[in-house]
Amino acid sequence: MQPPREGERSGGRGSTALVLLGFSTLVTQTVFLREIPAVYTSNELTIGCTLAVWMTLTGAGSALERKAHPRNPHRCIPFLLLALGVLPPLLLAVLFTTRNVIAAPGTSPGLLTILLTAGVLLAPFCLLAGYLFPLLASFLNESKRTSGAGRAYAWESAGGAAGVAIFTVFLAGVISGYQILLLTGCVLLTVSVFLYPRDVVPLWARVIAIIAGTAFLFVAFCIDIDRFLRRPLFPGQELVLVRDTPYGVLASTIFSGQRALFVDGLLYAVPDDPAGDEETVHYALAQVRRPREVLVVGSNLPGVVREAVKHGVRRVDCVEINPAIPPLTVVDGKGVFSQGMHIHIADPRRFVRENAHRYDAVLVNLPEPTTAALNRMFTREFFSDIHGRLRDGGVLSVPVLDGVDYLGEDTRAYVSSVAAALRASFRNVLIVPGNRIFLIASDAELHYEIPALLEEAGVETVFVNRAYFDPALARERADDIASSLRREEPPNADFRPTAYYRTLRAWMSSIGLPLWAPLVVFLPLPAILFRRNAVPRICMGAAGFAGAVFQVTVILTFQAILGSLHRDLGVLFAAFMVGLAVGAALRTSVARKTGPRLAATFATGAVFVAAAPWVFEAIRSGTQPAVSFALILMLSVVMGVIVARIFALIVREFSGAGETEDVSGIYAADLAGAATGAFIGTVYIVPLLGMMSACYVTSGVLAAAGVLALACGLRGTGTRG
Amino acid sequence: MSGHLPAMNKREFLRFCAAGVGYAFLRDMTKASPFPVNAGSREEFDWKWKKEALFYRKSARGVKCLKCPNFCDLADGETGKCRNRENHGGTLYSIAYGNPCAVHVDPIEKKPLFHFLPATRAFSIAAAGCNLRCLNCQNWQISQFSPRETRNEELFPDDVVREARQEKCASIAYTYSEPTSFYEYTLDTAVAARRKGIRNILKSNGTINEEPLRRLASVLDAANIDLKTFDAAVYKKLSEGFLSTVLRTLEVLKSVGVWLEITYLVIPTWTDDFEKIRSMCSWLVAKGLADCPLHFTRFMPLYKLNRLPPTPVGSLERARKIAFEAGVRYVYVGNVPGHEAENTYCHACGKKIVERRGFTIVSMRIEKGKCAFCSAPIPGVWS
Ligand code: SF4
Ligand SMILES: [Zn+2]
Repeated sequence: MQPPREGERSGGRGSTALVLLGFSTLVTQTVFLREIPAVYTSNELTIGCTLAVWMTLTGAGSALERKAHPRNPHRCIPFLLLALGVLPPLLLAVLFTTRNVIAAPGTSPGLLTILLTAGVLLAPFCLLAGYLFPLLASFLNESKRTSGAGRAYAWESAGGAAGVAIFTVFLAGVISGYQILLLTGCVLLTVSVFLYPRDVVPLWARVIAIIAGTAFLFVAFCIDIDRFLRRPLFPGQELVLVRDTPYGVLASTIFSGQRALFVDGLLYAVPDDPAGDEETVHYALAQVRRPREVLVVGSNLPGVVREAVKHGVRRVDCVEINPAIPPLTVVDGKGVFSQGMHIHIADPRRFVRENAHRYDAVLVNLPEPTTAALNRMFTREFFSDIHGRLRDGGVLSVPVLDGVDYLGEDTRAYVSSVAAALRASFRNVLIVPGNRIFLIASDAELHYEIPALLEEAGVETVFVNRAYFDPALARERADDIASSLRREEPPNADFRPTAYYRTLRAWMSSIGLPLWAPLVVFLPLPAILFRRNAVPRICMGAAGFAGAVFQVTVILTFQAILGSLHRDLGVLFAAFMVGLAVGAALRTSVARKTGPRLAATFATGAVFVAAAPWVFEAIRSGTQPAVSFALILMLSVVMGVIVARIFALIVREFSGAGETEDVSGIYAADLAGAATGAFIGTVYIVPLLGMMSACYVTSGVLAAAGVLALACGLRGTGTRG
Repeated sequence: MSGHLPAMNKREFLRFCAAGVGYAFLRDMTKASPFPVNAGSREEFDWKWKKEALFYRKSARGVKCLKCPNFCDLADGETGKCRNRENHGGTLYSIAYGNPCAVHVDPIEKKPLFHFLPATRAFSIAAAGCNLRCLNCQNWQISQFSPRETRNEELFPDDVVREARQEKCASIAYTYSEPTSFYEYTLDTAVAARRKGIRNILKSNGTINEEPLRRLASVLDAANIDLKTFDAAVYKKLSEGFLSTVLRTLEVLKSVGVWLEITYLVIPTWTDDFEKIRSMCSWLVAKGLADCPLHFTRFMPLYKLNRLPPTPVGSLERARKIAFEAGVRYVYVGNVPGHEAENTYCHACGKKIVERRGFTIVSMRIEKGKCAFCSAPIPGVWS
C-alpha cells in the first residue's frame, strides 16, 4: 500500500477524517456496550464479550483494508464516512426491534446468542471503522521524526477522547443513547460532505446528506424515539417512561394496573410487594430491642419504610445512588416522608464512611452482586464500615439469594464468600431462609424465633409470621445451608471480588456453559498475530492486551473505591485515549535502533504497572475523593502514553517501507490484544486473582514482550506470509 | 530469530489448541442440549446409586426409553434428556437411586395440597434431573444437572421412610425437581412407605407415559400436577413439554383414585391468555375434574424468564373467577400472602370452611369430610 501524496491539504483532510472516525467509533462503542447487554443480559461478561466482538471485527476490518485497498481512495472515503454516520442509529433500531425474534420475550438468552447477535449486528459498522483507519492513515504524510500511522493513531485517539468526553461526560443523563447516535450521525453527515471538494462529493450527495442530517435531528429531538423503539423489550406492558441514566436505562411500566420499575431490563422494584418488604425489614428488626434509626441501602422505599415504622422506628435514612429512582418508587411520597424517611442521593459506600450517624439496623435492599458495581455493597470493607456505624446490638441484613431448595456449587461458594466477609466484622451471622435467603449479622445474639419476637413487639404482618415462618423448619433449612457452605472460600473483598466471580460462574452454568467457553471467541486471534511479522505483532498484541487488562483493573478498582463508574466511565476512557493521543504524537527518533528502545518502553510499562498496587492502596486509604479520582486518571493517561509509544515505535519501523509495511496488521494486533485483555481481565484475571495480582500479571506480560523485542529485534525475524 | 518455533510447528500447535478447545466447548455446550448427550467415557460403570431402569427396550441405536414422551434413543454411554438415565452396554440405568440432593421437611400446604391431610408435614426429597426445560425453573440448580454434578446425600428407600417417621411426617413428597425422572427411586420408596402407613405425594410436571404412570399411581395417595398452559405451542416453547401427555396424566390419576390438585402458574404474556384459561377450565369440568382444587399461582421473574413483571394480583383473581364460572369448585390463589383466596369456601353454601394463613390452618369447619354448615361432602382426604 503506497500512501498517495496529494500534499498538505489531503493530509489535513485525512487528520480531520481520523478525528471524525475516532469520535464516531468511541461514541458508538460506548452506546452499544451499554445497550446490547441491557437488551439481552446485563453483566460484565456480556459487556466483555461485546467489547471482544467489537475489537475483533474492527481488527478484521483493518486487516481487510490490506486485501482490498480501493483504487481511488480519496473518492470513496467521503461516502464511507457518510455510512459511518448513518449506520449506528439504524443498527440500534435493529437491536431493539429484533429482540423478541432472536430471543423469546421476557427471557435472558445465553451467551452464544448474545455473541452471534453482537457479531452480526456490529459487523457493518466495525468492519467499516476498522477498514477506514489504515486507509485514512495512508493520507498522512511521513515526516522525518514521526510516522504517518503514529500520527493517525494520535488523531483517532484525540477524536475518541473528544467524543466520549462530550457525550458521556457532559451529556450523560441529559440525552439518551439513541439521541447521542443520531447527533453523532448528524455531525458526520454534515462535516464529511463539506470536508471534500465538489469534484469528490457532488452537489446531489451534499443535499441528501444535509437532508438526512436534519432528519436525524428531527427524530432525535421531536419524537419520543426511545419509548417507541424500546416497546418490544417490555412485552405486554404499557411503557410509561424511559430514562437513560448514568446508572442504566430505567423503564417504568404498567401491566394490568400493576406498576413495575426495570433497570436495564431487569425488574428492580414493584411498589406493591408486601412480602418482600416484610422480609427486608423484619428478619433484622425483630432482633433489635426498640430500634429507632435505620439505614436502607437501595430501593423499594415506601414499603420498607412502612414496615420499619411498625417497630417504632423514628428515622429511616435511605441512600440511593441513582437520583432518578426515588421519584419513581416513592409513589405516595407524602405519607412516607411524614413517617421519618430521608432520601440521600449518594454512593452508599461513601455515605456510610462519611456520615457519623449511628443506626440500630442497616438493611441492604439490593439484587445479587452479579456486577462489579453491586459487588462493592457485599464486601468485607463495606461490612466493616457498616459495623462502625451500628449501635451496640445493631444488626445488618443482607439478602443473598432467591429462596431455593438446593444450592449449586457456585452459589454455595458465593454465599460462603459473603458470609465470610460478614464474619470478618461481626460475631454472629444468622442464615434466614425465606422467599429470599438473608444473612443477618450482629455482635449481639441472633434468634430464629422471629414470629414470637415480632408478636412481642406488637408488629403485625401478612407474611413474616407463624403462618409462613416455622422457626424449627427454618433452622433446619439454615443448618442445611450452613453445612454446605465452603469454609475455604475467601471473604468477598474490594480488591478480591470473589462473590461477583462466583455469581458470574453460576450464571454461566445456568446457561449450560463453563466459564471459559467464551474464550473460543479469541481463537482466531493468534492467526491474526502470527501470520506475518510475528514479533512486532506479538509485541503490539501484548501491549494492547496489557493496556486493556490494566485499564479493566483500574476501572474495577475505581468502581470498588469510588463507585461512580457508570457516571465516570467516559472520563476514564477519555483519559486513556488522551494518553494514547499524547503517546502517539510524541516524536520518534529514527537514528536509534527500534528494538532496544521498544524494550525500554516495555520495561518502563512493566515497572509502572507493577508499582500501581501502591497507588491503589494510597487511593483506598485516602480521604479526598478528588485526589483519588485524579490519581486514577493519571494511571489511565500514563498507560495510554505507554501503549501508544509502543505502537508508534513499531509502526515507525514498519511503515512506508515497501513490502514490510504493516500498519493494518499491527493495528489489528493491537485491537486483538486489547479485545482479549478486556475480556480476560474482566472475567478471569481480576475476579479470580484480585486487582493487585492482576497488575503483576500485566507487568509480567509487558516484561516478556520487552525481552522478546530485545532478543529478536523487530526485523527479519518474523515469518512472512 | 533464534528462539522462534518453525512456522509449521506453530500452525500445528494452533490447530491442536483450536481442536482441543473446540472439542471441550462443544462437549460442554451439550449440557444444555435438548438431545441425548454423551455421558463421557464410562468404561467402568461404578456408580453406587444406580438401578436398572424400568420401561425401556432395545433399539437399533442401543436402548429406547419408554418412560416419558421424549422417548430418548440412547447409544452406549449416552444419557437421556433428563440427565439421570444412562445406557451402559445395552442396559438402561437410573443413576438417581438413593442419592437425593435436596431433603427437607415442608408443611403440606407448601406443595400446594389444600385438600389433603391439612396441617401435616411432608418429608420432601428430590434427586437431580428433569425431562423438561422450563425457562422459569425455580430449582434449575437441581433440575438442569445430573446427579453426578450435584452434592447428594445417601438415602435409600428404607432410609427415607425411617427418616420420615422420625420427623413425624404423615407423608413423603417426591418434589422440587421431577420425581417421575427419578422414577425407580420414587416407586420403591413409595412402596416402602405404603408398607409403613406413610402416604405418598407426587409433585410433578405430569410428563410421563401412561403405563409407567399407572404403575406409579398404584402406590400414590395424592398428586399436585403442574399444568403449565392450555396451548400446546406455548407448552413446547416454555418448557419443551407436551400438553396432551399432561392432560392424559390428569385423567389417569383421577380415574385411579389418586387425590389430585392442579397448579397453574400465570406468567405474564406467556400463560395469561384468559380465553385459553377458560377453555382449560371447561376441559377440566368436562373430564370430571371439577372437584380437583385448582391453584393459580403468582409468577416471579426467575432463571431465564427474568425480564418480566410479577403476575398482577388482578390477573390471578380474574383467572379464579373464570374457573368458578366454568364450574371448577375449588380455586385458590397462590404466592400472594394474606389473599382471601387462600381460604376454602364450601362449593354448596359458599361459607368459609377452612381459614388459612400461609401454611397454617387458622380454623377448619369440615366435619367427617362434610361442610359444618350445610353438610355437603367436601372433596379431599381430610384425615
Ligand atoms: S425419562 Fe429421561 S431418558 Fe427416558 S425418555 Fe424421558 S427424558 Fe428420555
Ligand atoms: Zn356448605
